[in-house]
Amino acid sequence: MNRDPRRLRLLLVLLVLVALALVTLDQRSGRSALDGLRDGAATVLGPFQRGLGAVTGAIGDVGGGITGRDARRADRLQVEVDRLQQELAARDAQDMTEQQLAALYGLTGAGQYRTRAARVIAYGGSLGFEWTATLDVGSGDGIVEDMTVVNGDGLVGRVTRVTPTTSQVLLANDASSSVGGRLEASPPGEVGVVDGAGQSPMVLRLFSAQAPVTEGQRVVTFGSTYVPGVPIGEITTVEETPGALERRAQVRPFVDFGALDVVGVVVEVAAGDPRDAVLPPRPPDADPFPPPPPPDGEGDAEADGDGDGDG
Amino acid sequence: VNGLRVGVIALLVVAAVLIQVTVLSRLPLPGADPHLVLVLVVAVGLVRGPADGMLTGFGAGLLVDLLGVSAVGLGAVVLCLTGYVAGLLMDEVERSTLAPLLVVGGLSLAATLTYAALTALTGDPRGTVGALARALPASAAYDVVLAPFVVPAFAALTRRLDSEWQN
Repeated sequence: MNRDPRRLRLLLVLLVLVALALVTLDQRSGRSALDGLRDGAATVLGPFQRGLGAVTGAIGDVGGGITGRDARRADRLQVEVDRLQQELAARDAQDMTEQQLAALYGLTGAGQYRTRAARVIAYGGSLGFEWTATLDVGSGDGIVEDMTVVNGDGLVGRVTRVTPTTSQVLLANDASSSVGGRLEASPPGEVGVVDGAGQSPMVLRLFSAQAPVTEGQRVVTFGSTYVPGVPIGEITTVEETPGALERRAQVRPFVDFGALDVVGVVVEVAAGDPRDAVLPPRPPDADPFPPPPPPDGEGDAEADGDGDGDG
Repeated sequence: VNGLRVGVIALLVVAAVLIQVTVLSRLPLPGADPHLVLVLVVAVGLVRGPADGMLTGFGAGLLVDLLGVSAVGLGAVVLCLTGYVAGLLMDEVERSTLAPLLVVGGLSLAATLTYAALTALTGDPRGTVGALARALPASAAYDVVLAPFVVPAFAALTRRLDSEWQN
């Protein structure tokens, strides 16, 4: 082992310079050689992530140490208990999965989205504050980049990288995520951008500073990069910013980004814009936002409300 | 000896990254995630010295970067420095049980801060002051909890491999 401090420092400087060169290479726009490396790393580790992700839920507890004459019998009983416990856990997990699938199909049915069901097998594990998830479906299942990902509660995110067996999703609460959004029950025009902010609430920026917006109003995707009509969240606070060019409001997302399991990747939108049809109905006596009259004509503006921090 | 050592450490790094993303990042822990990869890099530095520490940190950081969505290379810089500093502390920490925990806690804080500062320099919007304030204490605490498992285990493995090779 080399412990000459001067040579060590030289090696350190060299490694840091190489890493910083990689950073500048990665910062340049366009597809670089690093994207190929990224795809390669994800492709090689994908099957292992799938394997590990599948067994994560099945970690049982280890039996205690009993010694003496009854040890054999205790062991046998312990094995039996373990088996039964595992069966119970498996059934619970299956129930949960079924519930989540039912919710997912409820949402995708309402929006007429054709989805590929998938499971989250990994979360982003960087040193920073990235909100990404890895799904157990990939290009072999017909997944391509930029597909919208939903679950039974609403918008989860967007596919950013696909390998043959897995795909990576940029979650909608990641700070680099911007989703084109539209207020429920508003005439065409009240659109804006919903920015992710990690663990903090999302922020809706409405393009019109005079846009009427109230607490409790819900936001759905506008439909450009993301498919239209997917519920994003509910307005919790409206910021009063006189003289500002845009209206800002905090949005509590419908999806619990920290506990994702069953999701659906939207492969195709069968009908057009479902407008507010995907939002769960409110109690009839307390609907402060009646649906707008049906739009006449197919004048759906295809303005791109999405801006993205990364490539 | 070198080939075996490099292979074993590389295998451990890949395993740590996989456990990190499939298990630890999915635990419903408040605040942040434990960073097994960082703890492993510190362990390699503490047990094997600065050269192995920084090389392991560089490789591990690069792998983490490639799997993530932020700029490639930043994690490599941070973990490379982390492994180097841990290696410098190798002699101070020897035969102490408490000192490795302090080193892991301190380096965890330093690494997260440095990473957030570097990503902010590249225009990454994620490492905000609010996000840091929320995550820093939690991740350092989780890493300190991981340390008494990871550091002695790696030390024992190294001893075993060294003696086996000599026999």
